[in-house]
Amino acid sequence: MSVATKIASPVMTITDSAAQRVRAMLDGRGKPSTGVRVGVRTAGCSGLSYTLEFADDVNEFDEVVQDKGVTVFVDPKATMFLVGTEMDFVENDLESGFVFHNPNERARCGCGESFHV
Amino acid sequence: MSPPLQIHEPGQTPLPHARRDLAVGIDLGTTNSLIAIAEGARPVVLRDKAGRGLVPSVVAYMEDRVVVGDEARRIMVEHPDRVVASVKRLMGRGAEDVLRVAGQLPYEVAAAVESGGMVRLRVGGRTLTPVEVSADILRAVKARGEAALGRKVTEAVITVPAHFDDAARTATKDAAKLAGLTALRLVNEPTAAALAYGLDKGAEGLYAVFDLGGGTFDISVLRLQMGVFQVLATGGDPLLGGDDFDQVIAEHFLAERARELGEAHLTTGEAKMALMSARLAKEELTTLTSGEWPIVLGGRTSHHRLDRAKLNDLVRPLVDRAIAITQGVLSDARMDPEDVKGVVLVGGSTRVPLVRDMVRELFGTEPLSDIDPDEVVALGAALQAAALTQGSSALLLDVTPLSLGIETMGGLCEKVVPRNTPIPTARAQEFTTYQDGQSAMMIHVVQGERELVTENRSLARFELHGIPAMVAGAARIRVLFAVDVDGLLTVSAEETGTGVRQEVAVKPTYGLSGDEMAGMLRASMEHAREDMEARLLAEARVDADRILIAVDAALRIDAALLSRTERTAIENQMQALRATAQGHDRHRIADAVEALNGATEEFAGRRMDREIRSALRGVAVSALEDRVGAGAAEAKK
Amino acid sequence: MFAILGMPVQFEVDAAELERRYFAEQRRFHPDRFTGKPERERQFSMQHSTNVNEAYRVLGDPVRRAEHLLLLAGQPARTVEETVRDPVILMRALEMREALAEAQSRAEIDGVLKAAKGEALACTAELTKAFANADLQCARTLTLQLTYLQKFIEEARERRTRVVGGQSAGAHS
Repeated sequence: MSVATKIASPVMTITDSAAQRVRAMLDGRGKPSTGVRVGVRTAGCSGLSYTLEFADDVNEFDEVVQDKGVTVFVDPKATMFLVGTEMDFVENDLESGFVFHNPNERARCGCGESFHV
Repeated sequence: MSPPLQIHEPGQTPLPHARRDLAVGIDLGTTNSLIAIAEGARPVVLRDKAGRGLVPSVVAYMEDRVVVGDEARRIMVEHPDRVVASVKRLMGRGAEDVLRVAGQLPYEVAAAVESGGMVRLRVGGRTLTPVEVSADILRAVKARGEAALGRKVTEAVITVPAHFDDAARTATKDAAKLAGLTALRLVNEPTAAALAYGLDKGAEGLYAVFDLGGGTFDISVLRLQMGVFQVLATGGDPLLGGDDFDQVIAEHFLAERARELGEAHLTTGEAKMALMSARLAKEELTTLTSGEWPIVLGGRTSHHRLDRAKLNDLVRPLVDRAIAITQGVLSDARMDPEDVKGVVLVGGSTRVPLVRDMVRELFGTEPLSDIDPDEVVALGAALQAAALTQGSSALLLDVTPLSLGIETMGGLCEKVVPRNTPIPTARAQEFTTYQDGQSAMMIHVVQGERELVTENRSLARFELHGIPAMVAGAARIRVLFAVDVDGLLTVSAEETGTGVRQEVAVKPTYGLSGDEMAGMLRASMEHAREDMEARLLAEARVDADRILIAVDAALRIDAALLSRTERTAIENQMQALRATAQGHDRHRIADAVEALNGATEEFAGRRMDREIRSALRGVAVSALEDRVGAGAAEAKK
Repeated sequence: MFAILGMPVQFEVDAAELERRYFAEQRRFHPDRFTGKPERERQFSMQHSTNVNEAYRVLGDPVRRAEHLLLLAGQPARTVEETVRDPVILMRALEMREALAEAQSRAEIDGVLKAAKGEALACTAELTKAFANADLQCARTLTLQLTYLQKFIEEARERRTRVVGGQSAGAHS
């Protein structure tokens, strides 16, 4: 009998379409990856912006989110800004890519590329 | 919502706002230039404080400054020798081309042009290339845009006539670079015009764009559907436009004046004055039905009456030319004038009533002209600029305006990419050698529709070296033409027969000598060529060894057949061949082998005779006769 | 070629579907959609857009499509030398050329053109049948016939242009 497992709410969630796309991107990258890494950085006219990159390794303090078969590492500095965020993939006539639905966001700059919490 | 993110390599996520400012659209015209931007739903022309949108494409080179636009046009009256106008006609042109049009230009073209060089204009004590003059115009247009927008302008979509060839397109891009602008895209002017109309009105169907500007005529047939602009066919005449209208009117005026005042020769400046009167007459006759215009030269004034009917007579041959070209383009696109749903008028010269009448007559429909024909191209370019920097639901699918090919034996032009091919495109064709052992091939890239190379425009020449020695027609030279979305061409050639890949891309350039391209070629082929040389040298040495061994053996057996001097001569040739074979020149080795062959010919002959004699010794004469007879009979069969 | 646009490998082509797929591919992958994207993506877009253009060109034209299908079947289309040996095709080509040479007015040329267009249509229908029955020999002959008809229609069209624009410089200026 194993001991009880603590139910931890993950830092962020991933939609089906985002997970599917991440898997496809990882397959298509052509080199082994440990997953993708999400971070935030201070830049732009309105504060923070997301970064989304392939991960080659695991950092000791990364928050690891495993959901729908993909591994997302969340940069420890970013965790506090990202709690509750849903990562989605959108595709339309004009553009395609990942978007973050972040309940912590309070304001965005005009062009939508950076945000405040 | 935020713009979607892509997954990047670690550390490569671009900074936000690295995204560019909205790019502008620039119509770099023969007569006027404009700058526009599509910030909101509708594109707008950027104007100066006085509300002027048009920047006359006129540049005055004063002692201490360069003046562009209206002021330069004013300076033209007093200092015609300092002013350049209609420079667009010279874009991408070589010295030979310019000699053809030099007579029509109001400024001096430098007579001496460096070998294969770009045209140079002597003006205001300076020597300038058309690219530099165009850059000056672009700087002025850019400055106007920056003043209106209150920010830097660094990226632009620039329009070019659809029939602009590769050299002229490259020259335009270079002019932009010189003016500190990145040309995001070169868009054909008629296409830009259709973009301006199409997006505003959501039109679907076939449209013709009839663009008669100051210096050039273009006709294009486009299909608009599902928000995609598909250029089906384009054609035109690079030397037909409103300037020609002015020219025929001025000639008419000056002929009248000569009869009246007995004047003959005009200076360049005086000719410009006459052209300005002619132009005024043309413009005013779009609303008036008749009038009178003065020409003041050397203090003497002549007055010239002109009415609409006479104007029509004067310009009719020019309009006829445009209509004939239009019919040709429709035929190219496999369609009839009735198939065309609408005609867009572009260019100031379409204000001339006769032009409108004849276009209406040809297509049987009232042409569209609700957007100012002087501004419509810039507005379309602005829309395309917005589409490229911000994304748009509209998409432009363009075609090559002229056929591209290479020169083949007999000075013929073999088309590789026919005109009106959708771009981007890549086409390959195989060619072969003409002579046995041909080791190099000249790839001469030409643009145009004519059968003969001399009648088309030469874009580039380069040589493909290192073709392995083969009989004529055995080598396989694959020539690949790739045309990018700006209509710019890259050509590469490769020998495929041996499996040795030798490939180089050559961007055709205007003006520059072929040396640069040749250099690129040499660099990339050096290794392949070295390998080939090494192999051929080895083969030559093997040949040399073979003949030396054979002669040596013969001498040991049959030395008696030779006199002393004969023997010495052969031995000298053998010595020479041995020495040459030590060296690295396979041609000299081959020559020495040949020389030794020659020197031993007589010796070989005598040996052969002796062989025959010894074979026949002891055979009865009659038997011999039989043998000869049998041989003869054998030979007859 | 068929795969690039996701069209079934057969001679019969749904023109509307071909157009739809062509435009859809270009809308997604045209280089204009990739300005400011990483170099690798831009190269991919250029390459793919080039392929799509080529596929559209081949599939959109009955002769090129037929030639491509024959090539896929390992039965390359017939050459000019073979044609000259085919008396039926040669005869018909000569007849039509004579008719065009005799036609003077626009109406007469239109008549010749209409007849040729009708023949081309019939030929295309035959070709569809031949490919459906996998009768490659027949398809080769028909492809050649259609090539001739297309060339002829182009010439007739050009001639008509010259007749209409009679007073002007002509089509080759």
